[in-house]
Amino acid sequence: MNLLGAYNPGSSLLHRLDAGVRVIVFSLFAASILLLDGYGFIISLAMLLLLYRASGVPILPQLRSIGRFRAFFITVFLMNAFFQPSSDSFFSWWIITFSWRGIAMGLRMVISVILMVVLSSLLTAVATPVSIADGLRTVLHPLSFIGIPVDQAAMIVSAAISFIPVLASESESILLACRSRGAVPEGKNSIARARSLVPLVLPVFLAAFRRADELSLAMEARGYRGEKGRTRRKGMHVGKAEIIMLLSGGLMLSLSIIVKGVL
Amino acid sequence: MLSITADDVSFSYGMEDVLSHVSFSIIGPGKTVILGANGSGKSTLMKLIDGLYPLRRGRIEVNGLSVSDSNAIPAIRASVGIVFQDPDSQFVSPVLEEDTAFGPENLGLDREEVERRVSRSLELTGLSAFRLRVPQTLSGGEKERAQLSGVLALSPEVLIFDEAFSMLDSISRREVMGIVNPMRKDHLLVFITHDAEEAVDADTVIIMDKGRIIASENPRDTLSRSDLLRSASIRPPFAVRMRDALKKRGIDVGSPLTMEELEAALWN
Repeated sequence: MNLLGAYNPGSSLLHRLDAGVRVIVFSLFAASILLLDGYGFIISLAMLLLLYRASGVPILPQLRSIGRFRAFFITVFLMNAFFQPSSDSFFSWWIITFSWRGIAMGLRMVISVILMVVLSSLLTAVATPVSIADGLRTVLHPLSFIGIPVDQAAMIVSAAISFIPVLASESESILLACRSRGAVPEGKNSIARARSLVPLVLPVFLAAFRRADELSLAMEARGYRGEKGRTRRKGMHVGKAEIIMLLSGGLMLSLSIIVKGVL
Repeated sequence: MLSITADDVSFSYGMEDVLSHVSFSIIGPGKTVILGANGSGKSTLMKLIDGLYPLRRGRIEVNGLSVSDSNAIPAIRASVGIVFQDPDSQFVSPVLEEDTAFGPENLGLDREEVERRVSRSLELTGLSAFRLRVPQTLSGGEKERAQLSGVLALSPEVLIFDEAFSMLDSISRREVMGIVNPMRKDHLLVFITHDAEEAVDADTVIIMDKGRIIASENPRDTLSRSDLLRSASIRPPFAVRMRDALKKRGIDVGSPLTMEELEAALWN
């Protein structure tokens, strides 16, 4: 099953790409999507289809999963359709202006957001969260020279990601323990269910703090003293594949700038 | 020389002492078991040995290095590996090979050496095929081996197991012990446990009760004393309990510590 945002193991070019280069390449493609609109969407869509084809990740299940965000897309559309100042409005009251220009802008925004979601879900499909954090660390590493703790932030992200399944299982255990003692009502009344979950917050927080304490001891015991002097196991590796993808990303961005100028 | 020495160590979290005037000396290689009930102070002692808690009273030395000397801490942590009780709280990375590499990376070793150690540790623990797996998705025994792999990648001379196998079933425990036991030839293994059964094949047994050491001898002299163990809320090994029960019925089987010894005594 391919869920939006889930890692999809594989050995494609995009899977094998250096973590840092992958972040740069996806940033170039994202910039292209943001620049293009109107007929340019066709170019973006073609680019996404090519990328999905190259990755071996099926695009249809990802597109189906996007439906879950329909409330968000409708909100984006309405915000643009109703709040875009325009002279050709056919309905106007207080700060609300409904116009063809607003509708067009809303549609453009929704398409852009959908394309961005499809692109970012490809990134999470071809790279593990740690690899993405590692890539961001590599790309943002120069910022550490001006005192921004990029490496520490990446370590926190990595540790936090590895804690997600542990805390999820911990929460599940606490929930089951509460249910077994009748604390959480079964049924369809969502407000009552939500209110009954409030007592779970404290034990889950306590469990999280206890685990964080244990993890910090374990990290120290394994010699962690901050990022200074640590070996970076995977430095940036720029091979043939990386150069091809960087050139593709650069070409795509250049094309987008030209098309944007023409259209 | 592999050694851990403690001299008049006391420690408290608040008003009450968790450890009180603790002194001992362990010389390796070999297996030492620190035996005590919950709250006896044995885990606190382990954290002091690795410099994880600041030592305020007394002196602890690991391989001749004082844990009170902050400059010596990196060298101590490079030579002491700790396997904790709950592996789920120890994984730093969601990918096994990255988690195993965490320790060697902290030592600042070059990349080739890091890779070599990761491969060797995963091979030693039988997890080479799982190197790209998420550690939390492994079984209980595999998680324990994964944790051990991360510790072994440090190439420690001293290995401390803090109730490390208490959550494992007997088959998984035997599996992990099969990896650990041969290391006693050239490592100093320290097991912290409440299970006297784990101590029967040790070279030295230290018994703790309410923050104090009440015995520190070879297992035959300590574990045979069921009154001493019971006074520290420790259940004696099965062979010792059996010996006591038989003695009450007038049958003398000597001082067996293991099932094999008990069986031999019963047949003779």
